[in-house]
Amino acid sequence: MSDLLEKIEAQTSLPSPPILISQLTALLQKDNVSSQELAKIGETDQAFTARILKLVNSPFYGFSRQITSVEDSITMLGLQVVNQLLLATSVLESLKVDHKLININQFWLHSFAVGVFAKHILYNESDVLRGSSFMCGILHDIGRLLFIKLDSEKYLAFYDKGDSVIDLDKEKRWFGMNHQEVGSALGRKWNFPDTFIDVIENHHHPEKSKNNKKLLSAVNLGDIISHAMNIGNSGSTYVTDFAPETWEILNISYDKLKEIIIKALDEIDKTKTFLEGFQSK
Amino acid sequence: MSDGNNKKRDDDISNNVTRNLSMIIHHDEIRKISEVIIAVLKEKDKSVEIKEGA
Repeated sequence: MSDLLEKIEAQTSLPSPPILISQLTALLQKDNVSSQELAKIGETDQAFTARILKLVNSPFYGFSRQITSVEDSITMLGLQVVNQLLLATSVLESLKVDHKLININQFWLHSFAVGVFAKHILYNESDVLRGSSFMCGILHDIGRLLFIKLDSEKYLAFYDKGDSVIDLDKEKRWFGMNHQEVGSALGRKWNFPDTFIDVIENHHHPEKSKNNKKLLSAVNLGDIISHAMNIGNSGSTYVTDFAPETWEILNISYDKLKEIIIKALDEIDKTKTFLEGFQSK
Repeated sequence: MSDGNNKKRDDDISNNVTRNLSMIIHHDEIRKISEVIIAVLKEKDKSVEIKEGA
């Protein structure tokens, strides 16, 4: 076992699996979820309730009346959007790192954008898969946050180099594990669904996935588009690698891709204010 | 915005997206994807910064 994995296993400062995440990932796996069911979970989290009300009442949406409850927010924004934002809040609140080491708002903006792109790339798939793709976008790089938590000096020395394609072997030689492995170790500790763990573990190489190639390809392409547009910052100056199989697996035309990017950008612009103010410690 | 400014903005979008993907733009698929991204950004009049390290 690598030193880093031992640290993950032993590290008491690592957050326990948040109850909200367990409840919400379970909810994400269901086909039929009611507004009341989701509102009941959301209302237990005061920070989330405040955020969702701020978002739904923002000028972006321009609703004519004041929205004052989580359940009404679900009616206005849609169940899937609120579910995703609730999940994102839980993860973001659980993985705070020193703001001097990384611009955490930019990190989460990048992750959020990857999730939104992935969800739109899978426009033709089930709501369950599209919901999972958003969450996988949010989570795909959590390994980098763990590097910062567990060994910030090594992290800074490594990611300061940049100017090449991400090299997972080099990362592994440096840290003892690469960011995909360390992220998936946390995913297992937190009992994430196997699908999420697969994405965290293989997002740079979707072709290695046995059962979730399409989902991984969507996250990989979302990552590439976010890098191209420089939306947020993944915490690394390295460029995401590309496997041509990714494009074949997704099987979408360039015209369709254009529509997808336009819709996703619109959603990112509307909801990114939700991410503002997740203060680092 | 004048024609000259429009052209500069369009050139900046093209150059910066291409630069942000410079390490993988040798793939035909990425070159075509970058063209789509550039077209969207120009249509939406959205500028793009060069990624740190690119």
